[in-house]
Formats: sequence, structure tokens, C-alpha cells
Amino acid sequence: MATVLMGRQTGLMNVLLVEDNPVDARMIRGLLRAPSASLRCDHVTRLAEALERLNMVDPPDVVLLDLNLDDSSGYETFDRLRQAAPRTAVLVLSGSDDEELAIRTVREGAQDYLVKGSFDGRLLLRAIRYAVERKRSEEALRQSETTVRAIFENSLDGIVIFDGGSGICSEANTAAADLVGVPREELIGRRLCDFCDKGFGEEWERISLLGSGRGEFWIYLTNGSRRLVDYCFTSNVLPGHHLAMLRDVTERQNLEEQLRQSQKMEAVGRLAGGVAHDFNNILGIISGYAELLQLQARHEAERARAEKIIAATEKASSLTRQLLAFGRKQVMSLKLLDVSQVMEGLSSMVHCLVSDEVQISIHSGKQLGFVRADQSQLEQVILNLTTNAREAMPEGGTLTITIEKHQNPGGDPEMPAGNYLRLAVSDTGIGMTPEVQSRIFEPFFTTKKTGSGLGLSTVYGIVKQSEGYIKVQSAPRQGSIFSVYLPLVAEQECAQAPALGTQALNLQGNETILLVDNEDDLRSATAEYLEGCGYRVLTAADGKEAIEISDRYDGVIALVISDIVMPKLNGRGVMDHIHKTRPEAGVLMISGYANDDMPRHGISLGPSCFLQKPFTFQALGAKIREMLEKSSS
Amino acid sequence: LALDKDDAYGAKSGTLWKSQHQAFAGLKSDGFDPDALWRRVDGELELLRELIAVFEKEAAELLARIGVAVEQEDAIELERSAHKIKGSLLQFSAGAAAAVALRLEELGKGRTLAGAEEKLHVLGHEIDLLLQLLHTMTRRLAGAAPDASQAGTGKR
Repeated sequence: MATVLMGRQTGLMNVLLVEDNPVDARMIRGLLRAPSASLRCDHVTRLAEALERLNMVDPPDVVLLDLNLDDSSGYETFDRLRQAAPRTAVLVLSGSDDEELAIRTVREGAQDYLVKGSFDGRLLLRAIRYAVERKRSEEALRQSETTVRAIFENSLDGIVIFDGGSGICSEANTAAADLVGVPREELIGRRLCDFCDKGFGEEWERISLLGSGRGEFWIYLTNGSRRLVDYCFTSNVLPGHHLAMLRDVTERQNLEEQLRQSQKMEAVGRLAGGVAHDFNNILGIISGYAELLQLQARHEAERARAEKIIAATEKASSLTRQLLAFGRKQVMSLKLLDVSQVMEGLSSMVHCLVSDEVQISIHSGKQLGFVRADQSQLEQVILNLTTNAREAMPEGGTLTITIEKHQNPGGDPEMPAGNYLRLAVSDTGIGMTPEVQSRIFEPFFTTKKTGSGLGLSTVYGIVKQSEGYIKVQSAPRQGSIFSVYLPLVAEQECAQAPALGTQALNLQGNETILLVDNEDDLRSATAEYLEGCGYRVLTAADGKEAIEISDRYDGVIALVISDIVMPKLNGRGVMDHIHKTRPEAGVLMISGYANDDMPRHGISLGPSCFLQKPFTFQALGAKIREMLEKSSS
Repeated sequence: LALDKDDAYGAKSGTLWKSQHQAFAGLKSDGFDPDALWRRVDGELELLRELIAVFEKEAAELLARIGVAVEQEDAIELERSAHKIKGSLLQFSAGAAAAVALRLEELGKGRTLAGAEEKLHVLGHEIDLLLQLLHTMTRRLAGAAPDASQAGTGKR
């Protein structure tokens, strides 16, 4: 900007003399012709000619204007010229020592008012130079003001100027008005603090005393919502007036909160998964020995007691499954599912879950497409959300389950674009505060006296494991909507889906099995069961011992059953060695973690070669037969 | 002449001042200030001569127009022409003649021409006197300068 303004300072200064008196004109031109003046003076006698010159390509830098001309006289002469060339310096030369006229012309933009006969050459030259410089300064200021005004008006951040004493806004841009949710005219004349949280007034005063500062405050909108604002404060940008720059950081804060929540959930999930793994090993030992007791029971009472132990371990196992589901480590049996059909099958159970005071409304479209999920897990999601809705409506209400297609065009940071199936469970219950909403998916978090705090965390884990998304809308006394979004499977993929089935298997066998597990009790119980089924069982406490046994053994080992996480040498090492030395032998991995533990340990076996602890010996027997029959065929 | 020592003209042409001061002797009065005029034209004798020539012609025309305006009671033309001749007289530092022109301008502005003819007569007389003084002044200045042709430009 400065460069533009200074550009015309180089070279001669163009002066236009507008004077119809030949004596005055000759005098002024004579005074200006000195070489040191560096001026080029053009002379016209009429205002009309002057206006023409002003419209030329190279207009004058300054106009020396006599007010009384043949075609115009008095103030009107100046006024017409100024309107035609508002950015040109004008110096009025008058034969009238009229102070009132002088003040008026200068006030309206003339740079000076000189009375004829009262100045000599030096005074005139000085007046001309001052006039041009003043005009350039004015122009620079005007351009600067235009720039500042443009920034002010177009800024995406809110800008407010307010009185230091009263705090009342004297200037506010549109962004600031949008931020506080009122028209701009309404914001001007009010205090910014009127829209903030009450505690902020003191903070504001403290910053005012400091002179500058930045921080955050909440703005409460008339529609009940609130926005977090990052502010930057500078005092006395104008005498007695302060400046506040405001930036809406609500979305950023929400994203940060989501990230924190997500990281917390991941951490809790890992912890839950770890606990469940150890717990599963213990449960495996208990249920294994209970099954052996049951098999070897001589009296019905003994069998019944063993049955009770097995039943208790199954309940405990159910709890660990929920923990694993939250930690996304539950074994999934993925199928292409029609969620509407799953819902249809669950309908009666949903009605049983809620009390008579609750009305149930199920809206389920037909042929919505398929999702890839575990049916029992999906059922658990529906039942957990139903239970949650019921608990939110102790005095009755309406529970609505909606299943529909949802096309996400993108732009949602939490969910990529694509086609989804939306399963929404809504209630008209007590609703939740934002604080409660932020914690509902944490395991063991509950607002109920009797709740386990695992219901919604299980839902969360299952949805995430199924590569879906879950969203919650709720407000106190306005009910809640839990929306689960599961990716719809492409149609061609649905057509290729193989039919799944089960086959009854004989659990007896006589092959040789190498059993590797560092849990001594579980290994012993499992070996005892397998020997009871007719197998020859070789046992090893870790991977290293397993290799030594395998290498020493001359016979055929039909199957190796190995834990994954073990000291000295893990399941991967065992598997690699067996594949190398006994390529005909099958390998069945067992783990307290889910089957996604195998890839993590570099094990490239299909899910059919994996069994998650705790397993029943029945299940183990069936799996062994399935693998052996498959390899022999 | 009451000259400032810092005056650029005086500093450059100090050797000429004494004789020029003598050139203005007897010309200065309440109605005409040759020193102020000489300063205004920045010591340019040629410029002064040109101005006088232009003024002689212009003054004659303006006096004639004022005469017609008075005769025809055209107050607007009286105001305009009197204002114009007043401006020229101010440039020559001819205070007495400028004051008479101002009175005529005010009469025109006030749309009353009473006494205008008499004042026009006085103005004509003052201008005649002024022109005599101006010519005397230029003659003396030309004689006072070591090289009259360089009297103006040589000082710069």
C-alpha cells in the first residue's frame, strides 16, 4: 500500500492552476517556474476545463483553485471539483479574506486556503508540498481504514470493540453476532458478558486490568445451547475502548474430548481384555476339572454338583465375554445378517423385557440389505439397548426401535462416507446430561444402583468390533436415541456368501495329539479328558519343550494343540517348527484372547484353527474331530 | 527594508539591496508596498514587468466592465469584476486601490449601487497612480541592477 502511494512522488509534481484572472495566473505560474520547485504547472480558466483534466490518464497531484470563475463561483466551485476528484489535493486561492469560507472549504477537504497577495513563492511552494503530503497521508489512512474495515467485516473470527467502563459493545462484526446468536444491531449496545457464564465477569475485569490476555469462556445462546469461545483481549485499542477477538472452538473441543474418550476406552478395553484372558484360563481349569468330575461321577449327586460348578463357570464365562466384547477381543462368528430378520426373531423377547407401562413401536424396513456381524452379538446389542431404554423410563413411556438405511455423504469426522444400516433405539425417558453421556460407554459406569455398568460398554465393544459406529442424542427429560450404524455389505458380496452349517461329530479318536500349554492345571485336565476320549496325548509346558518332544517322537503326531502366549517359545514358534518338520500335522491354537490375537503374533491360520478359552471339553472334542476328519479327507 | 537574515533572497543578493532600497525610495505609502511586491515576485524583474503589462491590459478591461455594470445597474457584474480587479491589486500590494475595489465588490454583493460611480472614479485614479509607481519602480530596478537583464534570474 505504501509503495502505491509513494510511486507518484518520483518525478515532477503536476499542478493544475484554475484561475481566470490573467494577473493572478501569471503571478502564480511565475512563482512556480523556479527549477528547484520540480513542478509542472498547467493552467485553465474555467471549472469545466479543470474537471476534464481531472479525468485524464495523468491527473494532477494538486489543484490550485480560484473560487470565482466565469462558469462557477464561491463554495460551489470547490464542492464540484472535490466531488469530481476526491483523492486530489486542493489548495484554494481566493481574493476574499473570508474566514468562514476558508473554514468551510478546509473542513470539507481543501488542504489549505490562501488569500491572494498574502503569499510569496516560497510560501506557495511550501503550501503545495504540504497539501500533497497531507492528501497522501489522508489517502493512506483512508486505504488503511478500508483494509481494516474489510478485515473486520469479513473475518471468520468474531471481533468486538467495547467501552472499557461499561463493557457495552460499540462495534461488532457479523461473526461475533453469529457467535452469540443475536443480530449484529442487537449485540451493539449490549455487554458481551451478558452472554457469558456468570463467573466470567470477574475474569474479564482481571484481564482488563492486565491490559491483554487470552483464554476461553462459554457463551450461552438463547436456544439453550452453548459455545466455547477462545478470546484474545487487548485494552485501549481506542481511547477507553478495548478489543476482543473471539473464535468458536466448540467443535475443536468436542473433537478433543472425543479423542480423549476414545483413548480412554481403548485403554480400558486393553485392561478388560487382559483381565478376561487371565480369568478365562482360571475358568478353563475349573470347568475342565468339573467336566472330568462329571464324566467320572459314580453317583447322581456327584454329577449334579459337578453340573453346578460347570453352570457357575458358564455364568462367569459370560461376564468375561462381555469384557472381551468391550475390549473387542471376543470371538466373532461373522455372517451376513438381515438385521430386520434378527429383529423379528427378537421381537417377543423385547416385549418381555419391558413393563406394561412402556409402549413398544418397531419400524423395520424390508430388504434393507445385509451387514456382516455376529448374530448373537447383534442380538445382545438390541437387548442391551432395550434394557437401557426400559431403565430410563421407570414411569413408562414409548420405546421405538427403527431399522433403516442410512447414506452418509461424508463430512462427519466420526464416521466415513458410505451406506449404513441404522439401528436406532429411542426412549422418552429421563435423558442424560452431557456429563453422563460422555461416560456411558465406560465399563462399570452406571447411574443405577443395581446395574453392572457393562451393558452399554458391551454394546460399544460389539459395534466397534463389527466396524460400526454408535451415536447418542439425549438431553435431560427429553429421552435418548442410541443409533448404531453398521456398514452395509455390497450386493455382489452377499450373493457369494457361502451357506453356513453344522455337522455332528464323533468325539472319540485314537490319534496322537501334542498338547502345549503353560497352565499346568488346565493342561493336565485337558490331557486327562483327551486320553479319556481315546487319544494318545503328549504334553509340553512351553514351546521349547514341545519342539523337543516333537523332535524326539518317532510316531505320527496328527494334531498339535498350542496356547499362543507362553514363556520361552510362543505358539508361533511351535507352529513354524511343526509346519517345517511335520507338515502333515494339524495345528489348533487356543488362547484366552480372541482370534485376532493370532495375527498379532504372526500366526497365519484361519479362524477354524482357533478355540477361545474357556472352552468346554465337548467343544474341544468336536473341534479336534472336525480338524482331523478334514485333514484325512 | 526589514529583511530577515535567513531570507534566501536577501542572503543571495545582499550586494544589491542597498541600491534597490534606494530604488524604492519615495514609492512606498499606505496604499502601496513595493518591498512586499518585490518579495512576492521573488526579485524577478522580468516577471514584474510581465505582470504589469498584463495588469495594464486587464485593468483597463475590468474598469470598462465595471463602468458598464454601474451604468446598467448590473450588481452581479459589478461584484464579479470588482472582485477580480481586487485580486490583481492585492498581488501588487496596492492596498489603497484594493480597498476601493473591495467597496465596489461589496456594493455589488449588497445589490445596491449607490456611490458606485464615485468609487469607480476613485479606483481609476488609484490604478493610474499605481501604474505610474510600478513603472518608476521597474525603471529604477533596471538601473540599480549591475546587469538589468540578469536582475531576476541571476539571483537564483
